[in-house]
Amino acid sequence: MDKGLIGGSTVLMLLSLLQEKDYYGYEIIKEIEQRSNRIFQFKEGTVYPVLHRMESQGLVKSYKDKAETGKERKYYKITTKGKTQLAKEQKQWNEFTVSVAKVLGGVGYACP
Amino acid sequence: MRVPDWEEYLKQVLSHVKFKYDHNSIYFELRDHMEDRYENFLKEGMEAEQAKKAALTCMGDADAIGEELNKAHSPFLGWVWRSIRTVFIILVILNILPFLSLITSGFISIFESYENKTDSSLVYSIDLDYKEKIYDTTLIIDKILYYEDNTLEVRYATWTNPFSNSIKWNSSIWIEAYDEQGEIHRGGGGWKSGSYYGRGQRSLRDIPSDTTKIVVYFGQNGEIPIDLTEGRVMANES
Repeated sequence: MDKGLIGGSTVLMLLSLLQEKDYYGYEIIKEIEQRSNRIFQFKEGTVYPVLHRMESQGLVKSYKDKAETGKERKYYKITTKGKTQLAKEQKQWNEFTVSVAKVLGGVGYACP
Repeated sequence: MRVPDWEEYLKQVLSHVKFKYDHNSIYFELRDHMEDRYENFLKEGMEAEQAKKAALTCMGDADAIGEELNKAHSPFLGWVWRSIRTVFIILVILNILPFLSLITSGFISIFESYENKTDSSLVYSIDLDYKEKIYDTTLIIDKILYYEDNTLEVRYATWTNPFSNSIKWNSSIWIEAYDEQGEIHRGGGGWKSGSYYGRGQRSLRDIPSDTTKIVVYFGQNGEIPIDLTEGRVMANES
């Protein structure tokens, strides 16, 4: 899965992560890698255009802070608008996956 | 940490981002990322040189990322934002300047730039320091001077509020002179600078020395009579 982060579910994944805590870019990459057992391996630089666009849309806000390593990093924080957007995208995503599962699972699964 | 290959890569990414004012923050964010990745590789036991290369490969295509970043950093919105800020600052400054000048009339003298008449010597002057606000424009009449060659001169300044939405009328003044018998029609000339804040000089030729009054006309309704018999400072006495 190399296309990865430009795809439609990227914003959903990023918002979902940022709802848990504030991250800087490199941490996000590491976190996604770990959680997806390295299935999502994308070019790391591609996360930044997405983050920057989310910031210009007001979904996240960035600020500078010292990381655990003692170095200053640019952190991203989810906004209220971002949380609303997350709820919306989560709902769409659930509907989508349930529908796919229903198709894959056959008639019996689809009509409980 | 500076790695030549990284620098080149970052330069290539930034070459696509048209809004230059965001270059700095993008540069550091991407470079910090590569540094973190590099250190991670070292921790995993990779050789330094190899780790530097690998960190670069992990980033992905510089052109693709640069183009995406350019879309995220819209130069149009960026410039609109910067322009609005600049205009706002200028307007704030413009609005503070006349405020100062009205409080301390000395402000005007700091930028004194009236032309002094050289072909004739002064007979008398009247320091007026007259201020009147006419709608959105403040007229300040500084001084009246009378010369031996019968020229009468008025020195003045105007300040117009830049926030007002009125039609900006011609903010120069017009003078008529009067003696006991009534109005004296005479030719004259003058100049006026500035549209928001500006000063000007206006003169009338062949004005008799016994002229008692002038009327300064300003804007549509401004009509300011000035008595020439009061407050005279004779030049040869001082």
